Amino acid sequence: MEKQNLQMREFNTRQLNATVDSLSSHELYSNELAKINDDYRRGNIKFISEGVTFFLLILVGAAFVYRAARRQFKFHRQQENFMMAVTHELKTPISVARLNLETLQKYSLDPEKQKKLIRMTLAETERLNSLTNNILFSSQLEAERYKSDMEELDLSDLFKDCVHQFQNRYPERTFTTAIEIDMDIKGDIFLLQMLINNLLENAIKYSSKEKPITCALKKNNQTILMSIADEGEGIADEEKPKIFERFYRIGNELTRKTQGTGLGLYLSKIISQYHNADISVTNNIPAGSIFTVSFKI
Amino acid sequence: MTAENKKPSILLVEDEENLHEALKLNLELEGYEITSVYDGSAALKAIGDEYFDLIILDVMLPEIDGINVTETVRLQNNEVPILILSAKNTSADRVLGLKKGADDYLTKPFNLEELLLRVHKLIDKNKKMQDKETIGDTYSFGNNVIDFKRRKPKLKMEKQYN
Repeated sequence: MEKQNLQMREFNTRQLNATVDSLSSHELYSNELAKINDDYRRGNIKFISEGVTFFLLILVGAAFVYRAARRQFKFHRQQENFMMAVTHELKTPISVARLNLETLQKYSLDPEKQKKLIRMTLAETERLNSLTNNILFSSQLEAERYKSDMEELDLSDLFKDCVHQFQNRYPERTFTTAIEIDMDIKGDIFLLQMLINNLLENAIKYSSKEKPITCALKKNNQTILMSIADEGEGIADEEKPKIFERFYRIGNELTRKTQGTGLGLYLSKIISQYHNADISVTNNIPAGSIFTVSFKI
Repeated sequence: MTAENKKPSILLVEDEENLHEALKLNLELEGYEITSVYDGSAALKAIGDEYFDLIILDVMLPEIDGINVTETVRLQNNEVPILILSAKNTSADRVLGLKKGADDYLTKPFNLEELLLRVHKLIDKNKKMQDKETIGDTYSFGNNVIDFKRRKPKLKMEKQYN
């Protein structure tokens, strides 16, 4: 294009030389020449500015495509991890239940062993139940089809019931409770149960057997504070904001110590928002984490 | 080498506690000697320290996953039978497991009877192979005897080979 522009100038100059005698009408000639040169310059500027504009547009476009592709890749990877985790999480309880039942069917064991196998099987079905609840609720959320059912309820009783159930499921664990009575709030029982179960399950998963789990419920000015504290490894500060993201899990999926879907805390956050409450995580002393949900009343 | 009357030994690598216990109970009832480990690096350590007739291995394990464990064991020229027990059930997963050196691949949830049969067969086959490999010092066919120690065949015809 630039070459074309240059040729145009040369052609015009030549034509000018042919039609106007530069010596006889000097003024006309120089005027015409200036016009030709001016055209040439303007043409040049036009081409350069067009080029730069297009180049910038392409750059901006590329940046957008890059960002979208990266987001897509990240999401895809997370979803793959999620599928892998769900496969594992769904199949393990089924495997245990099936194996235990087949064992009971095959051998006539002593009553003590039978009882143990049955207790293990029940714990696994409970795990399966809470997992399906999580998955169902999250897909309902995605389709925006969940209708919450808000009613007056006693949070103290609900919290106590949940902890009691966990104590039955995990008889070897220690649960300490400091639950003040008669904390009434407006809420959805199903969702609040899910919230408490998710937090309790995390506390159990991420701390060792001999460490206690502390559950507290108290009123502080105009807020009700519900907290569940474990004495496990704790969560690094840079991970803290990320753990409430959907599908987010700390570490590598293939070689992790604990299994999970990356849904629990994400749903806990959504449920907290449903109840106009905040959920936060802080460090426990000497070790571990405290998850606190604060309901405004 | 295990003695005739000794129980076959199995290394059980599974991190899911309830599943681990139920498996262990079943295998013990079938008369196997079980060594329990709950993660990949402990499994590698146990395999280095001890002889096992079979390894039952989960794939999704803490620290080192089961596929890596299998690969490492095979790289060490250890031919111990490995049975992978995994929730990952696509054919790509099975192919990967078998390619890396597993002898068998069973997906969760599995049938108890099938698992026990496969365990029995793998141990049996391995034993037979080992018996074949450790033929005595001499081998005879017809009238001929080969003495592996002398590295010379001794033939009835009294012909000498150098």
